[in-house]
Amino acid sequence: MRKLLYTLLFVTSALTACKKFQGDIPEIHPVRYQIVTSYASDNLGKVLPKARIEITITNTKTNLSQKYLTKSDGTFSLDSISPGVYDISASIKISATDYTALTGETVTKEVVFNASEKAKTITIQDNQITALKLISGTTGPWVIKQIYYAGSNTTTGASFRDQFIEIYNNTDSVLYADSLYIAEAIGLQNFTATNVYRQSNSQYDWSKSQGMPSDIDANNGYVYTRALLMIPGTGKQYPVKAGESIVLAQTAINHKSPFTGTDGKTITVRDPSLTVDLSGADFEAYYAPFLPKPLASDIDNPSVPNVEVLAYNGTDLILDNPGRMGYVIFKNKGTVDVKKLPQYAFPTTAPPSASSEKYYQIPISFIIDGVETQPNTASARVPKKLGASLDALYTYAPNGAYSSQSVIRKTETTINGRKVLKDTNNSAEDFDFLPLAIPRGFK
Amino acid sequence: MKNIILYIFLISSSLSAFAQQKDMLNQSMTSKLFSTDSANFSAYEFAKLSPFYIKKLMPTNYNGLKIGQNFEKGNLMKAQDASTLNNTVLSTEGISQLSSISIWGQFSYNRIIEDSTSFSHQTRNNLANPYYFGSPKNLSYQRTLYNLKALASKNIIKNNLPIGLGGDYRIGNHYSTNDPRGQVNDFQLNLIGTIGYNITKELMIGAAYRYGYGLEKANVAYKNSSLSQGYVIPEYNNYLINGYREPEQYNSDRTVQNNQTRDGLDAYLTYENPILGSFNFNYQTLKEKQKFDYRNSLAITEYVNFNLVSENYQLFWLKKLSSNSLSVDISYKSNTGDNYINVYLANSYIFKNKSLGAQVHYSISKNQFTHNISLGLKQYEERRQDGIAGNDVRFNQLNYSLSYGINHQNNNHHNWGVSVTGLYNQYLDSDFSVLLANEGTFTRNVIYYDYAYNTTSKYGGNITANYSIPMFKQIQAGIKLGATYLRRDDLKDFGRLLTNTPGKDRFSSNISLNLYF
Repeated sequence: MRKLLYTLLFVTSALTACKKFQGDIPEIHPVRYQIVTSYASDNLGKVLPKARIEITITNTKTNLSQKYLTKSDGTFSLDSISPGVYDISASIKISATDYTALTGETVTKEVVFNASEKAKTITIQDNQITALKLISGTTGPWVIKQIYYAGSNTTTGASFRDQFIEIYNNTDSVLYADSLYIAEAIGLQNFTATNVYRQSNSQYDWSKSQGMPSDIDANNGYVYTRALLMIPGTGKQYPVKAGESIVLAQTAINHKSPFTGTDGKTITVRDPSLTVDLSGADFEAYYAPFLPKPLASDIDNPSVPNVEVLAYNGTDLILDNPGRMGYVIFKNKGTVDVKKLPQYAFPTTAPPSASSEKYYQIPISFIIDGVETQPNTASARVPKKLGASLDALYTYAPNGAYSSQSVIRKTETTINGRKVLKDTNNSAEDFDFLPLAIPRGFK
Repeated sequence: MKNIILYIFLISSSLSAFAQQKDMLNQSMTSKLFSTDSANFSAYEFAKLSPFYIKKLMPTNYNGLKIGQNFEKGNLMKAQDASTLNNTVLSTEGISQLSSISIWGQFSYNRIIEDSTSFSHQTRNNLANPYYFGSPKNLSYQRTLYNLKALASKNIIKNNLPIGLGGDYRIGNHYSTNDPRGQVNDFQLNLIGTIGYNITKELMIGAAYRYGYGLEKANVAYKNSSLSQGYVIPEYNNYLINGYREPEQYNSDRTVQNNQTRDGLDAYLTYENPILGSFNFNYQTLKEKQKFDYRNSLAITEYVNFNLVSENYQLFWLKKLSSNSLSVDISYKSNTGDNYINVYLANSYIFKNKSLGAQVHYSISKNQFTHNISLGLKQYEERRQDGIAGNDVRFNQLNYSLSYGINHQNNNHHNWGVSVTGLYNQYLDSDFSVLLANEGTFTRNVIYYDYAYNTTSKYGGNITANYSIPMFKQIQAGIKLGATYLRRDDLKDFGRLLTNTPGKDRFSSNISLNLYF
């Protein structure tokens, strides 16, 4: 019996003695982190300032954002930042006078340099460094002002039918919308597919697409478009005054009111306050003439001109309502026929079939403005499609799909009653959202 | 499930029924008087820890049944608690002798309505839990809990080797009645086997092995699809809380399963002497592993592991005098939890709490009166550290309670009693380290709020009254009323902007019908 007791006591002592990890502080701790900025162009880097470059760090899971300024050597150090996934951007605005004085190159507008890293993982190791290369982008006369990709509630609103894109004349003079191209920039929509070639940022490596020339920068010099639409016109048919915009509707009707679809059935929204009146849109996308089975809700408003469709996806201009898309506007250069631009299939590891979809390759140099949207939750975000010269980061409707929210470019200033919209080629900075999309509205 | 519940109830009732074979009025009175003797009743409560003690510290026969209603209201509460709570309780328990085996059993049913809570789609019995869903929206939660406990002890080998077995089975269903619809199902089964040895007539030692398994399954859904679809009202968003820091929006795969296993050892030492009374030392250690994962038809994705080690040292002394009795209960308890995040392959969160307490009961029986004087003192310290956010929050409190109760029984066996208790929760000290860069809704609404709550002193009191009479010659039936009021001091300024502050006070009351037989 005593042996039994001793055995029991021994087992008790042994089990209580052998504890597992019971440190006083967690193994993981906020880490030291440094951002080093520099100009992509070595020559510009020698003359342009590196101090006071604005760094924005946004935790993608909590959406908490902090802004910092670099020191004179272009660096910024944080003593403690939580490990996690962050969107990081750097931006500096140099006035036209300063830029001209520093570089000798005469410019008339302020020059904005951007750099970014989307979904950067800061690990649990101390002293990590991220290098950002600043590049300047085009700030064109036209800007994408509002994108209503979210749509409204599928039960009580108009679902995806009320989507629209608004394009704004951000100059002080009349512009003509004729032959302005509007396109969706396509890309890889996940981080997991293994049957495609990827770049380091997980986006398609377009240089591996079948038939892609080897002497071009297929990934950084171009975007690849899904829907590609063109404003019709003879050249001066659609003037847009300074500070005004054009609205391209998926279907240019008043979505608040019942209407009859092409199948003869009445389409009604239960809560008109969730949707928008697009009967006053300037253009609409009407796909029915070339579809074997058009969408019943895609009706033609005869008083609203239809855009020319060079390429399309689905049964209407249905924007990706989680927001996984890039949007670009451009005009052709010289005598280039956009319809004859090359098209390429996705860079799949297996050769694409003859029937594989191909996408127009648009040179970056054509593009006047680009905006990338992403889903509202970090876990749903996808690899970035537009480079930093077009859009350093991305924007999103905070409440996501079917929320009635639109993303809208911020007003930077008002000159003689004309609103000048913010355009730094970083939609994370340039865009806000409207709780309810408003065609021709401002923020 | 209904069959299980019925089965549990039948077992429990049958345990109670053993005692009824010899039921007489005397037995019901004995049970009632036993419940009013706080010193001896605290020995009974202590003995519920293990079958090892039931022969020593529980009476031969005692049976009780309670049907009651508790009501709490007030915003002096922790951030994730309910501002209003209604709890309907049915509980029956008893000890009886079956030949040479002592059997104690308890069945309880609780129906709880919480209105309302936020950031807390979780059971309320796993509060160190580092991984759960939560929504900023205030939710009305309903909970149904069934709990069956049984302990049995038998002395073998000429009463020199007491052996015992015990089981504790609990099932619970927790769900919100409004969107977002959190639903948590849980069950727990804990088993214990004990063995002891009488070294001398006065000295006995013993040991036990405990093993338990538990499961919690949580999911969050929406009845109103327009809320799940558009998050039109951001409050309806679902968040995943992982540690003690800002959570992330988590609006897909909103299910998580927590499998728990635990085992541990007890060590016992008792010494009983007619002059010195009964000394009972209890040491208990339990190691629990929790695994949080997501399951679908394709795979099981492991998220985090959580380890919880608890230790309990307790010394209970009971001294019976001619007509008085004294009990002293000194205990030290600690819980230490640490997680392991599979994404980082490292630990990021540590939870620690410890309490050192003493409870003294002195009961004087004289001229049909029983006077109960109780004094309680407990120091409680809790610390939560989140390495990812760099949050480190600790507080230390001292809780005092002093009570006096009087109970009288007349010759007709009518029994009445009242008691008053003074309560004081004194804030001692704390540490607060939260990076401003990580300040978001959860940090403000939960971390700051709880720190403000835990670092203010609170005071209040409790008053109870009961009256019972014999019924059907076999039962002592009584009604008991109680009310508690708690109020706080001013909040400590810790340099952060509070968007929501703990309320000034909280009131709770209870009424119950109690049967003793």
